[in-house]
Amino acid sequence: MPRVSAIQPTDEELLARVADGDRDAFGDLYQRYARAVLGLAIRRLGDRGRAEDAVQEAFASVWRAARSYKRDRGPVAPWLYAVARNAIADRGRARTEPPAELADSPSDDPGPPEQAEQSWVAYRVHRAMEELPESERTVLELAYWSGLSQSEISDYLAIPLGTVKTRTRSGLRRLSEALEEELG
Amino acid sequence: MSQKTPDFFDLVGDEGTPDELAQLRRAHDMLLAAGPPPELSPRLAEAPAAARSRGHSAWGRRKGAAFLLAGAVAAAAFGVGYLVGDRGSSDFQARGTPIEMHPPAASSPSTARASILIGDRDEVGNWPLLVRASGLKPLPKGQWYELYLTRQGKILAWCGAFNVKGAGRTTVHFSVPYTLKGFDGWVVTSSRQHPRPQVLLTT
Repeated sequence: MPRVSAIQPTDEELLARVADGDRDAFGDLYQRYARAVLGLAIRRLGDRGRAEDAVQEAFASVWRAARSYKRDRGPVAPWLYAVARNAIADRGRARTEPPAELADSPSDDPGPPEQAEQSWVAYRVHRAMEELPESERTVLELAYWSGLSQSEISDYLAIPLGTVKTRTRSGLRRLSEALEEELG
Repeated sequence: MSQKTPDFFDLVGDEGTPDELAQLRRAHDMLLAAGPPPELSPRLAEAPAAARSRGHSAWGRRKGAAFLLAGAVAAAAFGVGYLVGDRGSSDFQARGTPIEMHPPAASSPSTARASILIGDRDEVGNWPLLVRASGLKPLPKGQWYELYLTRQGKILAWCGAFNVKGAGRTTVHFSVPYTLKGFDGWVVTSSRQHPRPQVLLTT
């Protein structure tokens, strides 16, 4: 099937072009990160509408701040995460908070450090999934996020069960390699 | 379709060294912990218009959005009128309302527009398309415009290529064999012969 471009620029290349005012590069970077940032915003704000506002503000910040990114200080993903997190926090502060009520007993919900850690992991997982070859990404999405069994995936995609397992393993391996450097 | 949490060994089997399985297990656990990413709403399908100029104020963005909305309304009116005015001149039988295409929000201002009418599927499963475009720049020799089907912003299926002359207006017929319900949008791009192909029109 013809594609517009078979060779994808890296995040760093895209951001360098964004810094030079390249709107196409900004659009490409947006497509790569928008879902991950939206997930982050929904987790932090708990409201889809406000989260969507925060995503737009986050990417407006990315556009404005692209020149401040220094490639030698690390990859784009953590930089963009920090920019997005600040925009989301600003959106969170803009909310009128109702008076807090003290709980009778300690909550089992994760505290702020744990929430931050979970948010970062989810953000990176979602972004890393976007980088997988489509054949592997599709199998993993169906297995983990659509609840299909391996044989259901095999039927759905009309590929042998062995191919489903092979793609699952190679997708997980690739995902792990992409994530372990940053997540430890 | 089952909805239970996937079992690690069901997914990958038990072959491999302990280190290898542990590596796969870490990715498995992270996928479960992360859960699915949210789908983008139509509002977020395109990059925000922030890229129109640096340092826009909130008012500037709202004003820009108002102009975009006004432009979209005008374009829709133009597109519908254009199609209605020309529909009787062809034996093409449309099966719905025209699908309007316009420049992406983050692109340079442009008057380019296109619309797609889908006809009745033929006996062997092909969908006829009637595509009308206007405002596109004539391209140098050896380059052309291309129409693709998309899903979630990804360009997936090539539908045809066309060119324009003079005022950039053209009407072309295509036929595609795909199951259209598997896609959620269309784009027009410059051809791959172009030094840097880009999306020029989108739904």
